[in-house]
Amino acid sequence: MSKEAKGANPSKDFNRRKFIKLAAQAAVVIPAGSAILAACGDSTATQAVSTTAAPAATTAAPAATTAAATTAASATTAASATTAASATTAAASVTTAASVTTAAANLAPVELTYTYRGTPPKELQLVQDALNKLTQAKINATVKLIPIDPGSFDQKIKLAFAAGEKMDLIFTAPWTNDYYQNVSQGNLVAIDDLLTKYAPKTYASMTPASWNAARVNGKIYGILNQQIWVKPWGVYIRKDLVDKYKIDLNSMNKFEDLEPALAQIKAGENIAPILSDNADGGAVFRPEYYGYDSIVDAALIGMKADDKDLKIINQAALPEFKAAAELARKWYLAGYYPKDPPPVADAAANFKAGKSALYLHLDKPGGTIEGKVRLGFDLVSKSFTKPILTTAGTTAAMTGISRTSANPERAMMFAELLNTDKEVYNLICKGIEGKHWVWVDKAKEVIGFPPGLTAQTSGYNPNTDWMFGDQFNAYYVDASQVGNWEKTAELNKSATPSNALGFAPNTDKVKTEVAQVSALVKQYYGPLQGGRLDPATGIPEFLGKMKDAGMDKITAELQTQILAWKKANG
Amino acid sequence: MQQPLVEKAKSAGTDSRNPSATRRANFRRMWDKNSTLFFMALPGLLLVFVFSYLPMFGIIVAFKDYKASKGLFDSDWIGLKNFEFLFGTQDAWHVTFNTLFLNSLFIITSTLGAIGLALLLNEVRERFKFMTNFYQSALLLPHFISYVIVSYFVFAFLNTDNGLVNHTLAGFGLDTISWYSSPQYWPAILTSVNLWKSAGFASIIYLSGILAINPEYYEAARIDGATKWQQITKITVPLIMPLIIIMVLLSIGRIFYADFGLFYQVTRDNGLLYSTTDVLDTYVYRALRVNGDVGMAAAAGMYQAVVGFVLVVLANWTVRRIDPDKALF
Repeated sequence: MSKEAKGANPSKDFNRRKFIKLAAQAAVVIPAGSAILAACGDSTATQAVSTTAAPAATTAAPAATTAAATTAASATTAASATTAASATTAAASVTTAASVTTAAANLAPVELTYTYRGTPPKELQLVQDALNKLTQAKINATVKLIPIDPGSFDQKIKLAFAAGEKMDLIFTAPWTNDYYQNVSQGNLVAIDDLLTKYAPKTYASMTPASWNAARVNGKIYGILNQQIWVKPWGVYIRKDLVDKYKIDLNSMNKFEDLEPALAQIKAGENIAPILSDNADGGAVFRPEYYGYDSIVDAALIGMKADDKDLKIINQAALPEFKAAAELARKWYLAGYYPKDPPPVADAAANFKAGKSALYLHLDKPGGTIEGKVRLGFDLVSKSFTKPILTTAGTTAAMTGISRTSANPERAMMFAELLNTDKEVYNLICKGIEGKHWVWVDKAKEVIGFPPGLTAQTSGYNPNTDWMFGDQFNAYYVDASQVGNWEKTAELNKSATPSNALGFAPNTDKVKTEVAQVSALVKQYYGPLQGGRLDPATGIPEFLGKMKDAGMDKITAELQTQILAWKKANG
Repeated sequence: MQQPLVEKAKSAGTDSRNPSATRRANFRRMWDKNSTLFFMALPGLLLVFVFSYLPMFGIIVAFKDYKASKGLFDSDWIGLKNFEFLFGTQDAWHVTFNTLFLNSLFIITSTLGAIGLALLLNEVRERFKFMTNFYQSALLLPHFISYVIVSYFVFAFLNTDNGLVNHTLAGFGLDTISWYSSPQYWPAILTSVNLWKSAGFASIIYLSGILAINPEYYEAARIDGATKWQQITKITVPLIMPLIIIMVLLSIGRIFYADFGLFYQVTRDNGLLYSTTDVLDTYVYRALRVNGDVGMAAAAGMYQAVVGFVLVVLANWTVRRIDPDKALF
């Protein structure tokens, strides 16, 4: 019908089509090209939906790849540049620092960095300046504090290592900025000699058995922070509700004992009492609670802590795992867990808003204070767990020295200050006296906020003493805390050591299997242990898929490793 | 209906004794006409070259046991070992299926939705001029809302205890549904969310294609007594067909890349929903977050890229078989 109409203007039509085609070819070639190069991890660029921490974290793995690809070329140059630039200073400091007692004045001035996991506080610069006055006087070094937001800490550190960025001290642990991975990747330097030479007091403050926990293939790569090393799983309940319903915490000894209180709170407050999230917050099964040492936590690989034969097992196959899942299911159906648990990032906000009454967590001395700052309620707590000392617990907070450090000796000296010098340590933990805190009771080392300041309005309040060094040197922030550090030290000492204490798993050979199994654990562990999935069907499904994903291969590999470790260490 | 025109266009290009001279002349003519445009595109092309083509050599990471301390070139070669985790388990195949299935659904629904919207917008364009801007903005708005926010919208609708949908169901005396633990509904939910978010933006592209159609066609059609529906099916749709094909081919090229925000945020990363919502990107993220292995991540990226590339070539080949003039290359 429109033949004439079309024929009327063929040339115009022709050009338009030609142009569209040309443009389209370009448009296809470009994405196709970028599709190919996504192989080097460019997918971050295209899926940059991330506006918050959570999705930012999501791009972690590919982000690391991008860096690998784009910075690999510059990595070597950057590294060599920094080394060259600082070679002279390094050499100088090696010679001068050789004697530990050398006065600060004899040391060449150096600049150190200290990278750790934490939201950058507003008045960081003030604290850093005050800190540098101290460190310059003591070890003639200035320290640049680099807190990195928890949500992006891991991937930023990975990028920094991949780029060969100059760093000195770095926070590392099995649960964040993975210690074992850093060691196997060669990101950290072995510090045995540095430790005895430049941080003798820190080294002496812990037993050789403790240091063994930090050893990988016989060498130490991280300075242990003294803090709570055991994992006494227990419960924290809002104090107002404990008083209101006359809940008797002392009579409770296991998770099951919580039931009457849960029922009371559910009926009286009409809220789902247990804080839960869409990952594993609120989970009932905790290895240490049942006496297991969770050797590869991400894959639920563990060992009964007192097992003489060191038999490696799949914790998901345990009867305890099933019992815990059944308890959680019962609680879920009774409405003690929220029906649709919030994302991890929102869980604390829900608690603050009064939508939860209690949470299952490590009951450590001082935990109620940390909890109050985080969740806004006065809390009371109770432990249900007989403490066990495990490798993962002992190494839960460490400071390592980067292989890119130009001044490892001086970095170690600073670490010594962090672990033994109360003034330096508390400056970084609590801020500046008179500005961020004031003495409440100097004799007992209790501090408080200056008039008009609170935890929320203070310009410097990291609330993570355990990250910076020996926590037993920290000033108490509440009179009720006095004596807690002694109690914690006692708890660490009295805990039964796991028979695998000191064993560090190496999953390099089974990393494909660990990746697959840990994906399954992320899928099933939270729903099963938060009651959202019926264990009667869920657990067999979970176990079947684990087998499929090579769980047996992982247990066999770790069994060989742990027996070899036992043989080597008597 | 288009055949005569096509043949004419073709013969204009090839009806010569010396093809290369003609080609050069054609290029010359096109260059004269489009050189300004080319220079305008130059900065963009350079960026693409620097950020997309240069890093392409990083592909070798997928075949290496990458260690930052050893560097890109000195890390050990390990062949295809990095790819194993993608094919090792049933779940890995499962996520591949989910990715393809859901993305095909998305491509079909959002293409149809966008074309429908564009046609509707085109019809109201003349009659309600003042409303057009409003409609366009309203349709475009979802495109700019982050999936994090969208996930809360969806939660407000679907949450078990207080959700709008469950309230409505209860109001009608129906059983409420625990949406976040019922995977069977999620392909439909995700498809609607994706449609809501992407159709408006794509419709603007189609609308601009429609606006470029010579109004004389419609005039002639009206004189011949064509109805509105006939005008749409016989003029508008055939004339924007090249555009539709381009858009579809482009999305097929990305069919193996799932929108991470959609699948991670909107489902609230809920383990109970993985059976229908777990896609390659979320699986790789979950599997590699623990060990953060660069080589394995690169392998996953390369797998996506290669499959995407093959699919584009195949789709284009199919189009060319059917109608050579509409194929891209």
